[in-house]
Amino acid sequence: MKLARVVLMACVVLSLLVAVVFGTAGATKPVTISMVYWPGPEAEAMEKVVKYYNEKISPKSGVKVEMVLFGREGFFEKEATMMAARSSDVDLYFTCSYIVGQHAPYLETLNDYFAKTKIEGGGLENILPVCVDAMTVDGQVKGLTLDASINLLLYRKDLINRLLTDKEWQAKYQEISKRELGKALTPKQPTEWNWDDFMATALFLSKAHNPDSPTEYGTALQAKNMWPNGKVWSAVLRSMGGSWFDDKGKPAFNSPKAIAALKLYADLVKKDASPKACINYEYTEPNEAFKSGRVALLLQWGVAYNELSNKEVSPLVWDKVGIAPHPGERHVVWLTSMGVGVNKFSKNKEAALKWLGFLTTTEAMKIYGESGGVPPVAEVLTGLSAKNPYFGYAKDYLAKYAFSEKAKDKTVDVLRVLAKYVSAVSGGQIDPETAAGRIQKEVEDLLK
Amino acid sequence: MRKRRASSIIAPALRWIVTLAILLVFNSPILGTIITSFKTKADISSMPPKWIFHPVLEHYQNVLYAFGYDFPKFFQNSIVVSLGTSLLVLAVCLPAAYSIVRYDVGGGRPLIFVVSLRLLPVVVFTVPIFILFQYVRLLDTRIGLILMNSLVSLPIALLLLVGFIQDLPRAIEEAAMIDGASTPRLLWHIVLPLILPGLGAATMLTFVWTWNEYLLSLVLTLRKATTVTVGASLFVTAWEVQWGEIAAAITLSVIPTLIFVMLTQRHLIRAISFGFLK
Amino acid sequence: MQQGISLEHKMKYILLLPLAVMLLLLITFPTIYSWYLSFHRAVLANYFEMPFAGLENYLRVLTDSDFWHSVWFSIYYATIVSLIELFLGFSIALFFNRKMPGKTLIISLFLLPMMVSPALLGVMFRLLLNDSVGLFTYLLGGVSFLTSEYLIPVLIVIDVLQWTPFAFLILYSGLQTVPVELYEAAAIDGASPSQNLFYITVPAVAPFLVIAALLRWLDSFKVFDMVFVLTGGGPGIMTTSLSIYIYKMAFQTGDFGRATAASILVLLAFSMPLVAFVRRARRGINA
Repeated sequence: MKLARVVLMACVVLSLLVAVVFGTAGATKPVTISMVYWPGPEAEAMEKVVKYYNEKISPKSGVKVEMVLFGREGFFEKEATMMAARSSDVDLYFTCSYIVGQHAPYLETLNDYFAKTKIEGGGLENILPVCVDAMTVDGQVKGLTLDASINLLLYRKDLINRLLTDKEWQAKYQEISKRELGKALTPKQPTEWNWDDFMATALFLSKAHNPDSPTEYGTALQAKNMWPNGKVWSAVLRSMGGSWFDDKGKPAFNSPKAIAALKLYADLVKKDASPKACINYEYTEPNEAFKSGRVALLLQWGVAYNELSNKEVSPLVWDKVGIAPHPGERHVVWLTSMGVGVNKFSKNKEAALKWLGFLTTTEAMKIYGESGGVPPVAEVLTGLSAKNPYFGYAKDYLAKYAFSEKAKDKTVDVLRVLAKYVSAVSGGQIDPETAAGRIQKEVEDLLK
Repeated sequence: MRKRRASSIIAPALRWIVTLAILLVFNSPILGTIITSFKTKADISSMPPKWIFHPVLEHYQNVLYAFGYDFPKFFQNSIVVSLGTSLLVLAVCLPAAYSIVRYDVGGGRPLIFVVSLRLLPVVVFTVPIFILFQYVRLLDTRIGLILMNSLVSLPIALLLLVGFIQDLPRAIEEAAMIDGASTPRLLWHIVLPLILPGLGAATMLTFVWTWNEYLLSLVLTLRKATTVTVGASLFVTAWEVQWGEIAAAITLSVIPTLIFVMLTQRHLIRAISFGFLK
Repeated sequence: MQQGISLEHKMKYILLLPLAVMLLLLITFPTIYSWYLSFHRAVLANYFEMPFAGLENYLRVLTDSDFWHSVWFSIYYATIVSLIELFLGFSIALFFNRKMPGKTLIISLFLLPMMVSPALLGVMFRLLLNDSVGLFTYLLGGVSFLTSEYLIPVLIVIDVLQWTPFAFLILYSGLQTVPVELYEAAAIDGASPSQNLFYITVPAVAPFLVIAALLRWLDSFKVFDMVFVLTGGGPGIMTTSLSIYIYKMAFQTGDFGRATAASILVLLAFSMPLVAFVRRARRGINA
């Protein structure tokens, strides 16, 4: 009886060994790695790169790439679940500058690989430094930026030009700014605006203050209680001279600057310079408002430029879209780096790193840019700007104005708190001072 | 006499108007969706809305072939998962409901326990279930989805079946018992036909519920078992919402459920008109 | 013969067995795991070695005003929504409970709203109620509905549009079980239609009213997809239902300990009234 059991055990162990040996022997055939992405223009552009790689490079590298798309709704939640469960079902996770801190424990550190491996026409030094930094956590590079997305000011060129030339408009503009802001302002180019100019223009282009205004509202804020909207407000805060943390690294939300930034949202809605429904606006709704000619100014993500300047999709405004950085004491654009990192529990790390290496090359990033993405490679951006002016702005702004706020692994939590109160302030449920105090307290609790 | 004739015309006409009004109001979101699915992007974003427009099939083409999504596969998954769940739920609930009603096992505690499951937010279970499924290799499989969806639908089905069995006159079963029928035979040959309306309602609700389930399918699938709801949500991208594509996906996804409901509905009505209960 | 009797005797347990096995397999692990999480500092960052936290998670949830707000909102929402849906569902069930040509089709069409996933319907309502290009906005006279003042009524209306058919379905099936003889007898006694309704129909379908009320209340108490997609729980926390609170706590804050603690608290708080309710409902049915 005992003997039988021993024999059985031996058989099992033997067959396992055989399986392992044969398993490794079979590893010379191409390894397929899977990479999580979110659907949208980034995925469509990346798909072209993947296709190119699988056709041209795979035979040499022995690596094939497969993309796995998860819907945007609940995207990071699903990744979080997989990470928490130490899943090895995918080899590369999609990650962003604001969430890489949370993902860091589950991602391979990339420094070593890129230091050791020579990649022709590529390597980390090929990527814009600001985008490498965006994916760095405690000095370790945890993700590779593939797309640099920035939040900036989009405006109706035709209306601003008229405001800059039309005497009647200018008189009205002065009158409105005197009445509402207490100082008579003269119109300026959007690239030179501070927030008073923005406010005055928004009021001037709202029917509530100027019945002759061609647009119903000056602007359309994004004030839904969704944490991505916290980024837009943070850019406003930064351009007013404030920031998340003070010099000592303490949260600085209960400050005059933060109150002023909250007050800007509250005032724009209260004074009917932004639709009241903006408490349910995300990225899409302001675009609809802009396309239908209802609003003139947007604090919006650069990606929108492509849609708004597309003749077929936006027949009313396609040739009238202007670009500027955020108004304010210092001009800024919030940078969101999007990219991928290698799953720490992946069984194909080597292959995944090889693929990442290829992605840093100008060759790969050129295909990506030509297919609609915004690659973080200066050379590629310059090349593309001839066809689409947006790339020129992107390169320029990334170098001059890009910033982002981080709170280690709690960045999204801080954004969540911000979005909650920004929407409450815009909905008129709480005044800016109280909101600032509560944000301060909740963020302090978070970071304790 | 004349008065009666007038009312015999007016009353049905009024009834039809009310019927149409009810259908129109409750289906207005779906009508809006269907209209949207045939508009071009520019038409969708035009104000005032265009009532007369040149209908396009571009969004349907995108949903079915373009974008590299395998929508036919998503459909297949949804159908298998919804049917599987309905069958499993019935198979488990019918005997259990009978036992609960006729033998009063556990004094009603099983029913309360199962119904209280409905109170659990699904969200809470997603991480533990993900870990469990990964361990037993049920992740990204239709069977895994069937099991979890059954759990969600059990309370409704059990509650409904208990209600219907309680309404059954006991005499019929007793007569069958005297004839020497065993309990399984009794269930199959006598109870089952008698509670067909209840079964119809329970199956219909389970099917519809499973078809529309979102959160579980989102978390428990990667690519092989993706269902239509999760597939359609792929058109909510990180940036824009592709209204036309979503609308087309919704319109397509309603068709199988509508067919299923019409089929079960017919059963329901037939069972009634045969007058089992009368 | 002896064996046959004992088998029949065991039959009541055998019939329950499939259900019991299924629950055991699917519920045991997650439940134990949830309790475990709720007593630990289970945040994503230290998911692998969670320190024991005692009652900390429970205390933090109980002292969080957002939690109480979400409980209040969910109760308020569920109560209003289920009352309206029951009333409308019952009225429409009565209305459709007669001979009509094309009834199968009519009822199927009436059940249509239920067949769209709430998550996707929420997305469509973002467009239909959009104040720049929305069809409904236009049809309803250009009123912007997704503002703070109209938001909760709008959510209620959407829920009613989608789930009245559910209440209808249960009540309509219930109406089919009312024996015609009762009405015939009442007709001989000269009962009026309203007497018929209150003395025959309502008592006869009472069990179904209870079932429909219970299910609609529980489901709308947990409302998630549609509200989340449409408002994100905002502005501020105005429309944050309990499920949204728990979801944000679990996945956005990554604090599974507090999220599970919150849901266990809710389960505990509601299990007592729920038990009482189901007991009474059963007694009502049996009587």
